[in-house]
Amino acid sequence: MSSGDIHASAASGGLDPVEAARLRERPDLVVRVAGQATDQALLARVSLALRRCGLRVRTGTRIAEGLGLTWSRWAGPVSYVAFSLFVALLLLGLAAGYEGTLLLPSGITVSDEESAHESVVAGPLFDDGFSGADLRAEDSLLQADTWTDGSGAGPLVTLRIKDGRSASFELPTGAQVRLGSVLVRGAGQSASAAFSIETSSGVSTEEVLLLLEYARGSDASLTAPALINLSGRSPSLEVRVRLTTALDSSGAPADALPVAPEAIVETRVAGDGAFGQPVRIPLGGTVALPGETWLRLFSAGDVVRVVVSTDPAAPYRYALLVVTLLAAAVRFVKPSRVLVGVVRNDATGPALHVIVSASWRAQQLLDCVGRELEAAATEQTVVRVDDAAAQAEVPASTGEPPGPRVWILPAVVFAVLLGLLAASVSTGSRGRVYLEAPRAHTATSAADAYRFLEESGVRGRVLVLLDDRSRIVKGTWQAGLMDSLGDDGVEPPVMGHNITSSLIYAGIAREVYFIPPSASWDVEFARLAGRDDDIAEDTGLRVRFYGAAVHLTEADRLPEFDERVVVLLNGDIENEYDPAFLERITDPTVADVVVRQVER
Amino acid sequence: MSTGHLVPGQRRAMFALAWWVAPLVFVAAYVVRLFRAGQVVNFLDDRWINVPAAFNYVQWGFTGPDNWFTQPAKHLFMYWSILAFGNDPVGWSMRQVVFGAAIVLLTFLLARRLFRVPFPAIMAAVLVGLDPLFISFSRAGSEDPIAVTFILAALLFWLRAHESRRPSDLLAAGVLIGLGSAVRWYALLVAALMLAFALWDRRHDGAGAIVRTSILLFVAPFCSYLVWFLPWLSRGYSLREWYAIQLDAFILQGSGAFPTFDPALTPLTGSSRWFVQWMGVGTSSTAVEGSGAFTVIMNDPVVWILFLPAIAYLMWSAYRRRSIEYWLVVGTFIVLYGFFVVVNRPIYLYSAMAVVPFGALALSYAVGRFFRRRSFYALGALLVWSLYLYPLTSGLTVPLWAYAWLLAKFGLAGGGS
Repeated sequence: MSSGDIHASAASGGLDPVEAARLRERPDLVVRVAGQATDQALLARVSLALRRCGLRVRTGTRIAEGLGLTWSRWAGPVSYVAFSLFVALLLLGLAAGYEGTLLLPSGITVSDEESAHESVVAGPLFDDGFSGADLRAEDSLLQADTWTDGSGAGPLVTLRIKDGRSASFELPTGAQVRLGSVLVRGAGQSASAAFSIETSSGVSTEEVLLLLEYARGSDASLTAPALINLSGRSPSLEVRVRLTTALDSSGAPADALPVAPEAIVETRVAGDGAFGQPVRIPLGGTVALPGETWLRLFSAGDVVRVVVSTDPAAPYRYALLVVTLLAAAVRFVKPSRVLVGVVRNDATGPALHVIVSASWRAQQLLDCVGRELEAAATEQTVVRVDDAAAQAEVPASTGEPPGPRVWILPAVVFAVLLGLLAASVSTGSRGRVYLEAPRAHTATSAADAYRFLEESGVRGRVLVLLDDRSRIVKGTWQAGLMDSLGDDGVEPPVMGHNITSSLIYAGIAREVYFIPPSASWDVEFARLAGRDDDIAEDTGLRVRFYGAAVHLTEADRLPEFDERVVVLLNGDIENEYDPAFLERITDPTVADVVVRQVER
Repeated sequence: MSTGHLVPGQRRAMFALAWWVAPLVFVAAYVVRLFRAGQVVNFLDDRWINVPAAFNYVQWGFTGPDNWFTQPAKHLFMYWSILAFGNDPVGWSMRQVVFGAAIVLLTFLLARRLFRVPFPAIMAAVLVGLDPLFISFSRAGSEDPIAVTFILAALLFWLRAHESRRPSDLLAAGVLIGLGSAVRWYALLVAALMLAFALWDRRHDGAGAIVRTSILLFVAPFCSYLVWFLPWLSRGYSLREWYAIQLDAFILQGSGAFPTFDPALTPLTGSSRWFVQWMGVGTSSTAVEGSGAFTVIMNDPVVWILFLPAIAYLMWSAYRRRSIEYWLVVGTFIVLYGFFVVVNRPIYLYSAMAVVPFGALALSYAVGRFFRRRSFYALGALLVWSLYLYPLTSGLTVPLWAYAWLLAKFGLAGGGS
């Protein structure tokens, strides 16, 4: 039988060259038929056998096809539809939901209503339908070092939603609990202290609530300080407050807050230098302030900060996700497919070649088809041989179907490679922004230099830094700087010691050549060589800062650039560089932006 | 009855290979991991780095605050997880949950395709599905579950291609191993192994087949690796600079001059101890008289110690059967574990996720062969042991008397040290 026979006989039209070759050369089962029978008669018996194995049958002129589990073809469309609905519900949930921060003073029940929120972020479709759930935090008697890092148990919080259901749970920072459609997430804990400002006659004129972060101080305090500004009086005062508890005999706090709380109070006139002597006052106690005023500590406790949000679609979203995943998993289950071809051979007589295209029940189907073919062959002798013997009678497989189609996928891969390389080059070059007209700027501070470079629009550039320090340091301002990129209202926290880091974060500099004056070379070389990730170069060394290469080199070893650069020059040490070098590096053909920073 | 070459060997209990078992395995693994996924926070969790890095990478192509020498695909997976499930602890963990459950499913499918009988598939799925290390990192922490998922999926398609000879299967294998390499570089070792085995497998098929195989298992992985760097390239970088940073990352990681990790992780270092010693760190979240709740990251040497002889047995079987499929599994285990033992940088316990599935495949095969009809007793014992360990990875309250001996090994309160 030639492959052409098989193509011509394919009942489903879905017989591909791989199957054709496999059916012809590497069948899973060969059933040799003794005697003579027409193709039509043989296929009739084959059809009967396939039907008895539970398969739907279609026949061609020399091939029969049995199909089972065809319903699993629906898994694909079901997974697409379920996932689309999942995404739609997700977007709907974002648009119709809200997320707000509530402060829960310990022991006080707070309702999830608009007025109670410290801050709220709501979607455009949100209709002010706050959940109205009641939340209450109990005194935890735990200190910051056991739960603010999120690794331990948190304060005990009770949540009661509108339908009457309630739950109590420990809520460490970052943990989340869902009840109905209400989600509550722990967002930190702190101590709280309430003070009243009183006149000499004991009349309260003002009340102040402070939130104090837990932090052990060297003065036996249990919180970081917080400031009360008493302005609008003469003199204006600043009162610094920390919380602790009564001390034991060793001078350490005897209890955990909020048991037996005490406040450590220091006062100064606003604008003056140092605070006065600290004064400890117990709960209910007072301390005298300048100007016939008293400060009274009238309550102290814990405050739990929680983020509350609602998403009525959440349960449906999870259900749709399960459907999506299930359907996606079912897609692995390909419909069972048994192909039986009639092979005529003058020497050995007709034979039926059987292949099974199903992984998990291939043996079952093979056994069943073999058994049924045997039962169906009432008039002829059926001789079954195993595949090893069958393969010995047919030419060895070439492994892949013949013809030019085998090159289609490799060609597609090559096309994708070329497209990807082109996209990479294009993406990179679009990320490098130069100025048409060269600009020079004298900056009075690092922040000024940064602002100028950012506003000038240059991006993805090589920076030549002429300074006695690299100005590269890791720091917590990274988050603030990244925030400033997407929000004009956020001031970028750029300072003298971090300007180079900031330019890298902001994507203004992608590579830095740092050239210190000769006098600073040894110090800077030692400092950068002390990092874990320094790599020696012929011209000095390089380190990587968030992927950007920072080369430490000397002026006379600076490579020729094939693009214009940005020069950032510390004007205060300008005279330590060779004037000829400065003239060359700041030439408009070499640098399109030159920033000279002068502070002294 | 004839024995078709598709399904050699055992045929008993074929019903267990019914179509619905695979999705059931996935759902079971998913549920086990989803349970308390938002609440359990272990201190190996890098979400404070991973979450801002995900947003920074998508918005600005900036990899900070994550390390520059790691691969960036993880940032996009985290971003998509947040997009799908929310910017909260559940959203941050769902990436791990989904990929962690996928590992179990893929181990099951690999075992089924390799051994053609139900028992090893079920046992391998239980081994990986309830392993304490996989439970921990299926909720939070490292990116290894993503890389391991792609490695296993790539091997699955490689085995399909070996049988079907379809170029599309080989292409899928190539793309998937490229994705794995874009998450963790050790997947490159598996990529090289897959290419070598495929070339060996097609050595008689002519020069054209060799060229096509090389394209599908070398060029395609390169494409699926490079594509994740497009956001980074958008910061103005050229392909030459891309190559330079790859080289620098390789030099840095190869030299052992590595940034310092948290000293608290020290008990998790030392790949040579993975299979033979208890290794773990953890936190005690509550301690009431006589009971406590713990979150522990740990190995399971009671089971893992059997991986090495099981791999040796699978190697012997591969030799006896001349099975290139078995050799591929054995080779993957040896290459990956050998790499973790000899590499000149600190290797932490979470990297064991890359080799444990292959040990589990070998062990499940060996148990099926040795115990035969009694195999399910071994499976039962494994289930009991795994369920005993489960509370320790899930922050569930346990009686101290039942766990004191184990907690003592990790220096946890209530454990006697």
